[in-house]
Amino acid sequence: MPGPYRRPLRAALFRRRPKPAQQGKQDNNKDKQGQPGGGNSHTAPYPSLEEYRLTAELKLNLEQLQTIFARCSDVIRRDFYLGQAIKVALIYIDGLADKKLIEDTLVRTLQQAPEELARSLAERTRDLTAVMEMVMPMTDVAVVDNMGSLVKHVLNGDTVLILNGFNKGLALSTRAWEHRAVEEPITESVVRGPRESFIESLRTNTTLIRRRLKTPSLKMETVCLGRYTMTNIVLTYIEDLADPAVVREVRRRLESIQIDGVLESAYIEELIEDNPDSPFPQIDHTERPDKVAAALLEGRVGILIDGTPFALIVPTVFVQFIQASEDYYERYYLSSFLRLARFVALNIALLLPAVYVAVTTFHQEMLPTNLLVKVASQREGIPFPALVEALMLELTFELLREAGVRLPRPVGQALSIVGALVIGEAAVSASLVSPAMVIVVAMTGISSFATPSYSMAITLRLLRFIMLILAGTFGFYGIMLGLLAILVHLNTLRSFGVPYLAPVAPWNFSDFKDVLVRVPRWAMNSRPSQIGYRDPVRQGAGLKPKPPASSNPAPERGKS
Amino acid sequence: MREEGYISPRQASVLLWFAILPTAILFLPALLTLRARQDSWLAVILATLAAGIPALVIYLLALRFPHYTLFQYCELILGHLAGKIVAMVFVLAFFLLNAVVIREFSEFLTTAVMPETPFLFFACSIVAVAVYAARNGLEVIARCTDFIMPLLVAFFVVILLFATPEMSLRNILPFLENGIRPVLGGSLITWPFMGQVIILATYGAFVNPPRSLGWSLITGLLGIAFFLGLVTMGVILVFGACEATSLTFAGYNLARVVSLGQFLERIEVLFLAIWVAGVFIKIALNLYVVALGLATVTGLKEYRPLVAPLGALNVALAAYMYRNISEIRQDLLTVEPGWTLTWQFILPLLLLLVAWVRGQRRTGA
Repeated sequence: MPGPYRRPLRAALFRRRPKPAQQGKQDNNKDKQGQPGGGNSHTAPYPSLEEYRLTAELKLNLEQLQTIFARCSDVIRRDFYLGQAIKVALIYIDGLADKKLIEDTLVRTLQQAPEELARSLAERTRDLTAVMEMVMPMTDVAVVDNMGSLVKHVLNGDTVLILNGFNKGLALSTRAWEHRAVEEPITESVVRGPRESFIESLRTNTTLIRRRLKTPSLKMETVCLGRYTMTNIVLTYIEDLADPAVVREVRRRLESIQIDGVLESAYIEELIEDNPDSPFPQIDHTERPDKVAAALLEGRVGILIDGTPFALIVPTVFVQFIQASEDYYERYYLSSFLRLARFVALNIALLLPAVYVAVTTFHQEMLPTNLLVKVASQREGIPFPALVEALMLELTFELLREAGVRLPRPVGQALSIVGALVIGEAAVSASLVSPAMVIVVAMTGISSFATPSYSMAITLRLLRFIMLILAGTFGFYGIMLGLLAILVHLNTLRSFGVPYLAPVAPWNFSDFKDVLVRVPRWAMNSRPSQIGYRDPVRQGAGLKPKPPASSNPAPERGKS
Repeated sequence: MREEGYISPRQASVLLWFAILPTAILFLPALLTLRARQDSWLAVILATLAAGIPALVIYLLALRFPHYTLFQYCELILGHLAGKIVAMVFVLAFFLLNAVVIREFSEFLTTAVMPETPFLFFACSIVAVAVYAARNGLEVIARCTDFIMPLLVAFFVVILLFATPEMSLRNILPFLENGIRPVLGGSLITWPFMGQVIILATYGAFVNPPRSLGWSLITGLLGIAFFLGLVTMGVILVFGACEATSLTFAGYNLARVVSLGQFLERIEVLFLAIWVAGVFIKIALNLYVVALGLATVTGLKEYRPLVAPLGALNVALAAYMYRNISEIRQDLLTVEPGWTLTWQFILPLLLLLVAWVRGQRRTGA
């Protein structure tokens, strides 16, 4: 037993622990907490909280807790007698724990326990099981025996009960805090399909997935990250489908993170992606539980993070960014058409201004004569070269968009009207820019909104400027150079062992069923070969529905 | 010196197409018609048959030394010193070949597309991107071909289909007007391009499974013969043998004549785009092979640090080698056939003979 609790040095907090100590052994009842990263019990100048065991002396425990929770006004401590015989103390955090439950059920039951029972319990000290069996009115109970896990339980919203004469405490699950209701997804709304979205509460999110995948094969491992935020992160996968190497790798990367806090899934994304220097997003995120469930069914691994409605999906390939979950809920002709349209939009968003600049600057001969004359007469009197003109307009567009994103909605609308109509119109009539250029930039903007994934659209926005400069200096040859460099770069990327451009490069013909077109559900017989190869068969063969053989009743004899 | 990562037999054969086709479709038809006139397409087919012999040599060597590159089994066959010297000859030959390709590429772009831009700019920029690709290894180059190959094939089909209105069947008649000799001469000119199948002896070591290398060679050669024959045939059918000899960039001119209604015109820009992508693969692949070979000969563990300096040297050599495009043509007509025949055919054949006589193989290890 180390001395009285003191605050550890900052450096000690972040020292890497060689192997997580045997904590969590005691709360095997309730293994919700993972291993926290950091904190070293052997070499640190101050022992970690886990070193402080609970003692049988209630007063001593409470003194230490007093030190630990000094000046924490939201921590509530309440002492009372269990059945007028054992002195007990309750500790919970106001607002995180269900006060009504604690007051109405827990305290009342414990206080009103029969006195003889309490006395017999007091004699059989160190036998917490008896307490649980005889007086405890709650089901979700964990035994804690050190300050570390006690504090962690309290901070997670549990109520901890310490009894005089017992060197262990009971952590009772009373978690209930204010959170948003499950609403429609904001970033990925659909016309047809489930309308539930993840919320900021991790437990609700895991429930949303569990409700869709009712199988014990759906595993949910918890990792606790963030020295101060103690964010619970759930690693979820279907054990029969996910590649164990990928699961192991995800777990390894998550556990090697040493950080003070995790506030959004982007923190995790940036810390576990394969190519941190690439401009391309390598981990897909979604706020739709059905999308996560579909990904898990393909053999992917989901990462849910407490405090954010966005879940991560790994491994991710490029085509996922032009797929939307609604593709699978609409008729496949339409879905395939929309996918092709999105692919075209992706190319327009990246290339259209560059191509326009290249054509008007270097390759005028490409245009049909009529069009060439039109464009040339529009550009007549414009004082800038096409490149500068394009850069100016693109920059204006980006500024308008950026200004509109953060403003409250009514102001944002006014701004977009001012920006789009007034500035655009005025710039054209002042012949600062040509009308054709306005059309090009507007088309580009619309196309970049047509990309289902916002993170991919951002990347394209950035690359568009590079392509624009290449086109303005070297014409089509510059565009081609840029495209080749992007192609090579995309080919070097991998996401958890899966080539980023799969199944296009390396080529896998059977996986083309879900790239630019979506084949009907009854033809989607296998999982993506790079990801779900452990159990490639997805459904029975020959599922294509047919009308029954004798759908028309045979005409009755003698009639007609 | 091992490359980590493997490529599939299909990728190997497509890489072979990219190692030969891009420059061949541009320069070869004009040179061929100079010798073989309207029978050039026959010369292409004969040259393919002839290229089957070095392909067989490569295949037999690969069977003797599976998982070994050309540079490695040179040393295994000929011993330490002689092996290193021969391997170095191969490295230099590939280096020279790459310089020719870079120069052809940049000369074409300056002559046909952007006459005011110095050719050195094109050479430097394409080699910079190729260095980026080669540094990332064979797998990445192979995956790039997976992406570009469908575009290339679709483009061939579009050009040849839409050029049909301009074609006239009389252009390939009379058949064998001057006997077989000019056709054989044409095959010899085709050789510098076709003989590059030897590049499969280097990256073929990374084909998985190694036994399917034969399949890669056959499909690779057949594909090359098919596309090259079609383009040559198309050029002769559209322009006739007389006019074709004066077109330095025959494939490009073929794309220029394509016109469909008032809508599909000026398709040659697309040709440029896809052709640049093709030559890019060719240069990246050659650069990779040169760097890999040099690393093998010098016993380095990594080839990656060599790629960028070799690329820079390659550009310098490309700038130094010829004065203008006519010199390239002259070189391709007179010097290259003999030189390439030496290192792409006779040298591997000698290697195979020595290996056979000394009974060397590295199988089952």
